[in-house]
Amino acid sequence: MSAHAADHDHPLVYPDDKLYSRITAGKLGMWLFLLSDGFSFGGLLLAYGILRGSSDYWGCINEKLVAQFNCVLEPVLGINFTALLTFILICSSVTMVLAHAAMVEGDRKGAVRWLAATVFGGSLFLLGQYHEYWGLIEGHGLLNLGLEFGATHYSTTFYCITGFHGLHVTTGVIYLACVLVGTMMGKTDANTIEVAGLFWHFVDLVWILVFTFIYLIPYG
Amino acid sequence: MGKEDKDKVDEAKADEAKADEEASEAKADEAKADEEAGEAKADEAKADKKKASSNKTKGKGKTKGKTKGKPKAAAREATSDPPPEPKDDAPHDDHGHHKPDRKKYLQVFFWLFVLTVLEVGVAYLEAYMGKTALVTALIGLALAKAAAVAMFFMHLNHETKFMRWTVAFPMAFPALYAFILIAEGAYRAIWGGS
Repeated sequence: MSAHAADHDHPLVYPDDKLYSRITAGKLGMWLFLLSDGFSFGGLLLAYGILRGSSDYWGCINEKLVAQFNCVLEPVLGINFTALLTFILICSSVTMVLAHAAMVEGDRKGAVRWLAATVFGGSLFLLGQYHEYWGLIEGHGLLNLGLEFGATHYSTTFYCITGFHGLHVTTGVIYLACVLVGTMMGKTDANTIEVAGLFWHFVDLVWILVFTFIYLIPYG
Repeated sequence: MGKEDKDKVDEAKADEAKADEEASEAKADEAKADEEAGEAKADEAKADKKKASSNKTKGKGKTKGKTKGKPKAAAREATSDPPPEPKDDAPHDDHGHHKPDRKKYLQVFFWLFVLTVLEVGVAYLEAYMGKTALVTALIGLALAKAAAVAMFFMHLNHETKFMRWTVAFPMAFPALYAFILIAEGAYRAIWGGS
């Protein structure tokens, strides 16, 4: 059977399961992992919701709150810059599906190109997040502007959730870089790329929710 | 039990096809694989047929009072019919991959972009909308985007209905919990309490 598989650019054809059809073990395994990961993010977002819902104010973002609650002034999270990061991540999701599409059609070079574009998009997102935290330009970076980890629920939930997501993006970029090298060496197939793609799209999907809950829901 | 039985049925099929000397390429591949296993095929096929028929009876015994699907599978084994194609209409290649639909991917990309712009726009409308309406709109837009990514980019639209439920059902629980928390928060906001 293994010799049979080696003749092809694909893994073995899986038997047509009554409930799951021809899903591969790798794909089903990745889906189960993503479910558990989804619960992790779900737990973090629920904790965030509980803390935010039960607090008197969310973020000590203006002088009025400083006077009223005697808190230390904290920066407002920027929507426009993060919207750009969201757009970058969505673009990288599209390049990811196009990499898979190319591989399904047997276009290995095309798959390599699209995978490289995806890795580039992910790296750009990480660079953007670094800028958001530490600031590539002077006068930027939430840490420089007074959003201190551990100081308030507002700051800690922000760093925990976006940091956990950033860790996923980092993992995803490394994972995709490995798949990229494997594809260049001719060691991957369409299924490898699809499974890696599932992880990458999940990272994008979670960011869509994080972007809404952390950045877009107004203060107050 | 399904997998093993189907494999056996497939093997038996390949053998019959060889006997008829009208084997298709795919079947011939399977027959080759069988050769590699280094077993005498004619005997094996006979034995397999016997096993399959004995499993059939086992299967029938088990299925009574369980699920509706199983008797169908047993009937399939009985007639050695090929397993049915997945229920959706999307075309497949020889290896179970769906033919990629680039136009659909770009359409989804377009809608994700539009919804993101809309979201950012709505977030600036706090002064003109009630907070409840604004938050509802934002969450609705985010869920629509997340669903689009899961369905089209993660190919849940190509998976079986059961696979979709395998994902959706467990994830419904955190969502339900979130809904209860929001409802509880709204209750406290409207009727007071601490």
